[in-house]
Amino acid sequence: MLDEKELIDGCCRNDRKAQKALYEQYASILLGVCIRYSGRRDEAEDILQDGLVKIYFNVKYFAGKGSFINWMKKIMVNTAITHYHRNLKHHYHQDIEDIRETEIEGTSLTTADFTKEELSNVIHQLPHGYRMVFNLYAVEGYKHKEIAIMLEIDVNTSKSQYSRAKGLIRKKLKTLKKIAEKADEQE
Amino acid sequence: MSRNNLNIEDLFRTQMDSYKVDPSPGLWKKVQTQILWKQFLSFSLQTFNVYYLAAAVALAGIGGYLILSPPEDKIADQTFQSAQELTNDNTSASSIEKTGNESITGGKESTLGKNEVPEDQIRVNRESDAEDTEDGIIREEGTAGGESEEIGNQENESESKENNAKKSEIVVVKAGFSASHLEGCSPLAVNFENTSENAIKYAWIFSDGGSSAERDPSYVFDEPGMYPVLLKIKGSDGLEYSTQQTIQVFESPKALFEMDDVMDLSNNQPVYFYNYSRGAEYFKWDFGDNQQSILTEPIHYYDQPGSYNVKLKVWTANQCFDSLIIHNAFTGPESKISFPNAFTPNMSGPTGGYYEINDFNNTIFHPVISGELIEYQLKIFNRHGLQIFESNDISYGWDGYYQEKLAAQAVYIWKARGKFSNGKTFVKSGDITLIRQY
Repeated sequence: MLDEKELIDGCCRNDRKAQKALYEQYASILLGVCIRYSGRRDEAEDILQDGLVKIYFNVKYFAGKGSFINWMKKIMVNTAITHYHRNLKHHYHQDIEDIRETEIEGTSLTTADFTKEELSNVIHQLPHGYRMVFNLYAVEGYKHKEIAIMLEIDVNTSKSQYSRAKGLIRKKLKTLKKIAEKADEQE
Repeated sequence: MSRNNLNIEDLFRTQMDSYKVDPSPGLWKKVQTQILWKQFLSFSLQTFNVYYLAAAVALAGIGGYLILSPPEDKIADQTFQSAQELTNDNTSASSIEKTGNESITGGKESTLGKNEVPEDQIRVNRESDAEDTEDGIIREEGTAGGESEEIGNQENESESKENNAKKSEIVVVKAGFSASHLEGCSPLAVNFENTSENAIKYAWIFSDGGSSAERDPSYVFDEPGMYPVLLKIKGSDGLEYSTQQTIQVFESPKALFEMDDVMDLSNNQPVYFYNYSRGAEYFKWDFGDNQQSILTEPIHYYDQPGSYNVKLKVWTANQCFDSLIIHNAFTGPESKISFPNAFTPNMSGPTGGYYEINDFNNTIFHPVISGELIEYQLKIFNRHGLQIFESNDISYGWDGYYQEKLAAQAVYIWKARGKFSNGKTFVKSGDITLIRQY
């Protein structure tokens, strides 16, 4: 098992072994990022593939500041955004049921309530544009201003899409039952 | 609320940060090939390796093969060329029919159809000349040589066969156009058709500030007036030619009137009509009860009360026209019916559909009326055309339930008809969005 520094150095030299080791070590977590941004698994793997190639070719520019995994995740996010723009025309469809704002009052959530797969599923059910904004804001921690520039949308669009995404997520988490139990306890 | 927001973000951030999904088994292979390709394509001496060598050898091999095995190719080329010559002849002959004088040069080159070509050419010329003189619109300002060339074409048919080669040296350039209207009422839209010959560039000046570089422009003259339209062309001989026609735009009238606001027509009251029309000289009134008048400001007596459509037509001396209809005159502000476009039914069960006029909860779909209804019918259909509600009572609306079940959140179509106590009837339809409150 190579450590992170050896991996990076090896990839800088285009060493096959190091490249493969990097893939084996990080591919699953990077695919975890991609799959959040994409509605379909095959598309997520396309993003992963493109992102990995970018990583291998640009690893020499990784300055060593910050963590390597976060650098790679950022590349994945950017690649996902590129894919989003490219495939925008395929994703225009939205149901009236989907875009209704819904609010649920008085429920608090804890990490113990949901498995990662459940959360990932919830993200998957979001309309495409909402999913992008939600991921960037909630998970990656970008500001709405930054998101607006990345996705080429208005700041207010980002904000409103985020709040609607959140509403939808709440609704969906509620249907996962666990919230209902929680609410009962509180009452 | 903000506490909840925080929670959702934290929940996803902590959980998703380390979320792993195993890629499909074949993915590494794909990534690897993509890396190899990209490395191969981004050539540099540093990464020079056996792949480049192989590619270079392959390229050299293909090149060598191409150089060493030309004979068959050449034969093929030759046959292809001769075939092209044949098609060339054909196209030059056909282009002569289309474009007239200029294409004589094409005829000169042709070898097979030489004898036939000039005849075609002359016949076409004569036809187009005849058209020009008939139209009488097109004015020529070409060179003297160009005009005599035209005449020469007509007179010396037999000679032209022999002098074919000589004539082809001279190119006739003509500037000309025809307009769809030479006069009309404002705003006047005119389509111009270019009849210029052998022009390579067009410039139109419409003299009201507009211009165009199109071949056949369309132009709208908004204001009345006389507009000389100038067409400048640049001929294929390099000289400029121009021609001009004048478009006359007449002023259009504007019909406008008002009448006494008589609420009660029953006592055979006189109704005064006030004419505010502008620019008009002739008037024709239609009072909606089969009575007409050509007075400027008529006074009319209606036999029966009711709502009438009053129509005024106006003309100018140049036959420019305008009209105005006032629908349902004399009905006053009463008797209106309007429908909302969305409602939120009671989620806990059917409410029966009877509503309080001052209840603003919007749980019942019903129209708002002013005036008194004597007939009323409302039908609601879903998107499949199934009727899901009907009411003949204005105080009874739709509560959003169909067969004791709350209808789906969707858009529904309604149709309503009825009659007010003042005799006014209505037939209306529209859509209503049912929104569920969660």
